[in-house]
Amino acid sequence: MKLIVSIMLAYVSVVVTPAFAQGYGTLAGEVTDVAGAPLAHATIQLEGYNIGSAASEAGKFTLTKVPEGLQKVHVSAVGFQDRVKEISVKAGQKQHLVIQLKEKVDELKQVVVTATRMEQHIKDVPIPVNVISAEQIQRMGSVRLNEVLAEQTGLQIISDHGTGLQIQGLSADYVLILVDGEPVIGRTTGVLDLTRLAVGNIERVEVIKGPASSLYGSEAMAGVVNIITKKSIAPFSSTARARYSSFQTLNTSADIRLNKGSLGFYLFADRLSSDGYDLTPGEVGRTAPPFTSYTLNPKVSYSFSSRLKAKVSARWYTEDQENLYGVSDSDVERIIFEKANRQDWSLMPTLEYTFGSNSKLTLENYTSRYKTDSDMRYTDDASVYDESYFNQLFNRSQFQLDVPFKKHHISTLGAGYTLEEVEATRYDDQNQFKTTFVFGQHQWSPGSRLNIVAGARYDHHNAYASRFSPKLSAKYEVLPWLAVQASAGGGYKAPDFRQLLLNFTNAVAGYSVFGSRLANEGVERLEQEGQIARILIDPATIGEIKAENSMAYNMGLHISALKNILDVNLNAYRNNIHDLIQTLPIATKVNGQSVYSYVNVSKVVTQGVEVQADYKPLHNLTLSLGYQFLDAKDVEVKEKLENGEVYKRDPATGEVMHVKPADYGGLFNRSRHSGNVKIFYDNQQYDFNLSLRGLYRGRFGTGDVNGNQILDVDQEYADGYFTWNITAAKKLLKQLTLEAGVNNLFAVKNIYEPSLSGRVCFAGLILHMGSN
Amino acid sequence: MTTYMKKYYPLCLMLLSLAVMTSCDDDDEVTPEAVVEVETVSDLDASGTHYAFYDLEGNTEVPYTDSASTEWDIAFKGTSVLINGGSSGPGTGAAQVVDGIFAEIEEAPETGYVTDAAGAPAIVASSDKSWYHYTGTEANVAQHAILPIAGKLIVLKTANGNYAKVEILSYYKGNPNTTTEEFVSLSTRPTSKVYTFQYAVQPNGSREFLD
Repeated sequence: MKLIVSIMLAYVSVVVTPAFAQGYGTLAGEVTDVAGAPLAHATIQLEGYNIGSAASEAGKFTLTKVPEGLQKVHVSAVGFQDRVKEISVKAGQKQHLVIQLKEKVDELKQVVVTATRMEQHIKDVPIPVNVISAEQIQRMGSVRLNEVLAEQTGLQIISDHGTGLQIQGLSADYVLILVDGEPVIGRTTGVLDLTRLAVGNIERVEVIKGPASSLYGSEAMAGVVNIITKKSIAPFSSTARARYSSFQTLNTSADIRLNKGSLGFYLFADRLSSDGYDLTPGEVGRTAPPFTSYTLNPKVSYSFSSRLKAKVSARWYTEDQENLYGVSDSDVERIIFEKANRQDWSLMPTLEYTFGSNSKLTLENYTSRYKTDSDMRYTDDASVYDESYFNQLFNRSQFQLDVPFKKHHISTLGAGYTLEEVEATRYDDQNQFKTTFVFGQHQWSPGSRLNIVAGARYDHHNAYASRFSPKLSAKYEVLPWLAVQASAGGGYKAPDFRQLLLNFTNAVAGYSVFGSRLANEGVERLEQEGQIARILIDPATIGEIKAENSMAYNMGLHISALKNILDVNLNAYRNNIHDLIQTLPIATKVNGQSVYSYVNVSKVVTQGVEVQADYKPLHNLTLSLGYQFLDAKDVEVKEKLENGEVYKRDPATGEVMHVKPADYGGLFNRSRHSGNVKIFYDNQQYDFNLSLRGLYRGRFGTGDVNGNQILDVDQEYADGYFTWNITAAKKLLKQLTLEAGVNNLFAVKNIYEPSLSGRVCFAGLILHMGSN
Repeated sequence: MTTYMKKYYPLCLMLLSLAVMTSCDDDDEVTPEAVVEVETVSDLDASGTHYAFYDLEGNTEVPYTDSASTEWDIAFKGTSVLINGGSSGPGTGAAQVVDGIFAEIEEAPETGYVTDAAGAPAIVASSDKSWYHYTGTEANVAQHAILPIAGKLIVLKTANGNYAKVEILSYYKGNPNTTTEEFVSLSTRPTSKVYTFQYAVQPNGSREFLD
């Protein structure tokens, strides 16, 4: 290589033809990426002259015989945006310059990490990954993760015990949410509330639909959302943002990114407060209660050498909220005031070592705690209505070894140990879960057009049956503009704490609920106390509960047509889900009430097609369309329907009839049709950008009205709706940007989706300093 | 006449044989098997402190003072249902919940009957566990309402051991349409714990319910 460079330099010096008599200077410099890493083989060219060079392995270059005066240096590198730097060249002097190049926002060059647990170009991964960049997030004007995900094709935000995410017709319980590859913990009835996650520290969000338990274990059944946070940047960068919006919502956030030599530092801080809103003014309490929350995210990285790197990142989040509830206490309406707090923190030290053979070893420990406290009191006499807490600890230690060999192969081996502890009202003592796991993956790319990844993971758990989760994916580039891909894989979700450990007797109603681990001894105890009237299911048989699991198939194609102006992705999927856990009465008590426990019973099939088309008729204009067709059905209900065993009652006449199989609308809260349309426009002349996004959610089932507990008549659906969001940003000064927008422009409301608060207007300022 | 008969003899024979065949079919249908009558009981008040006892075979309400007798077959109080047998009474009654449409249930199951036990009635008084669904705070239906589940029938043995099928139609006075504004609003909703149900008893002891 050096030889080539010197030949080129020799060539340059020979052909240089001085235009007229004048002085010459020398330019020496370095080309790096935004993180300060050298870019080997970058091209450097002096505008208007036949003077140029290629950077060395270390990113260094020297241009000699540069005419004095103001000169423009053009720098380019594959995968990076071109850059022009002006410099005043002085005769007889050698000047130094450092030129940083930004990575090109070219989708095919996009690096992703979630699909294979290692950084790879998106086109080299045989699994479809949706990437949402920081730039896109900023252009949407989003503040919290739920707003970002709500606008993506095939992702449906559902508000039920928090704002969760439905993927491929599977509810939020089955979606794994990661930050830098490790899970966010703390779910309420299975839902991980996405409003806990600020977006200001996000570099990009990667979304994989379909199971990925072969790499990530439990919960990665419907899909994985991985938030990649920002890194330090050389030498310095800082962004501050303040935004005010409807419902007295104020968001302030700031970050600092520093990098000096081998030391990197990043700090993100965010505060969000709101008065909330009320969609049911007639009732006590607000639909969304007032809250104040804080997020802190510091990170430090240090390179001991080019081979050994260490990182430590931490996160802390706290949120206080207050609300009122009405309860009727022996026919007297009383009001309860609730003060609640939830917090989480995490700490993740990582050590990375790259061997001479380019094999990479990563050692990591991740600790996270999630805690909630709620205090509910009657407003009239301040007596306690309910006090409850939930305290969860998660610790995972793991290693991962990536070994590339023979050019076309990369093998990955990982193993680890997870310890979870939970203490809560309604649970006995302190409970521990231990999981030991091992996973392996092999990537093989024979030729440049075919790419195959096979992997599997084994999880051994102390509280439920062990799981083996395989996955096989392949992608083939049929033509330069057409690629097809297919995958088959297993997913699973571990039984959650309440399904295993709940020990609860309702003091007022008198029923009892036992987690599967406690069912046997719970029923035995009640029997000794003479409280059991009849046993319906032998509790000894339900001790060993199985994880809910699935087998899924995905097939898709990617078309890049009209010289990359049109980009179309099509994906068809099917998830066969088994052993879904439900509550069933296992015994009746002498007080007439039941004893419930958790049992593996139902089977569900979800299948659908997803299409995403992006069209860029101009370099500064993007139009995109997304659509999902979804069919999600309970297999048992389907069989009953086919056997004529499902009935409905006409509420007006009382007549009972058979339900026809064709009338079955599938699972509640799923939209058969959903989609979006988006326009993004950039104006470089006046330095502003605009975006308009329309989001459609087709009609969805809300609950039974005709006495058969399934979705089968029109009155059981909520109407579909379209919401429109518009955002604009204008650069006022080099460092100052004004942003403003309206979410839900036409103030659409739907009583079945409480997150539709009506029209939300916002305006804010973004101050940016340092390098980009 | 004779000539007439002679002339048309073959045709008459055919008609005659047809008549015989038809009457044979009729004989098949009118076997001494059961014809059960479907009765509807409207607005049986089960809101009192005592159970409302009902004699299905006599189609009449029985005073609670006769609760220790075999006069009654089924009793209601709130959402609770008792069957005259086991811990509930001296009869031989037992029951089970069967899926189906009332008119299509042609035969009572042979097995599966449960006798009331102390605290464990054959018909469980719990939402979705036997004949009704409690709507709670569900958004799209009348809230806090007890609605009979479509296709859930009670098949029982009466106090005297005959088979009966019962379908509870309403838990509210006047068997109202449960989707009207009047029903949805708790302030105008008709009185609860008032039963309307239809039933049929096979008095001959067989399990058939043909009508």
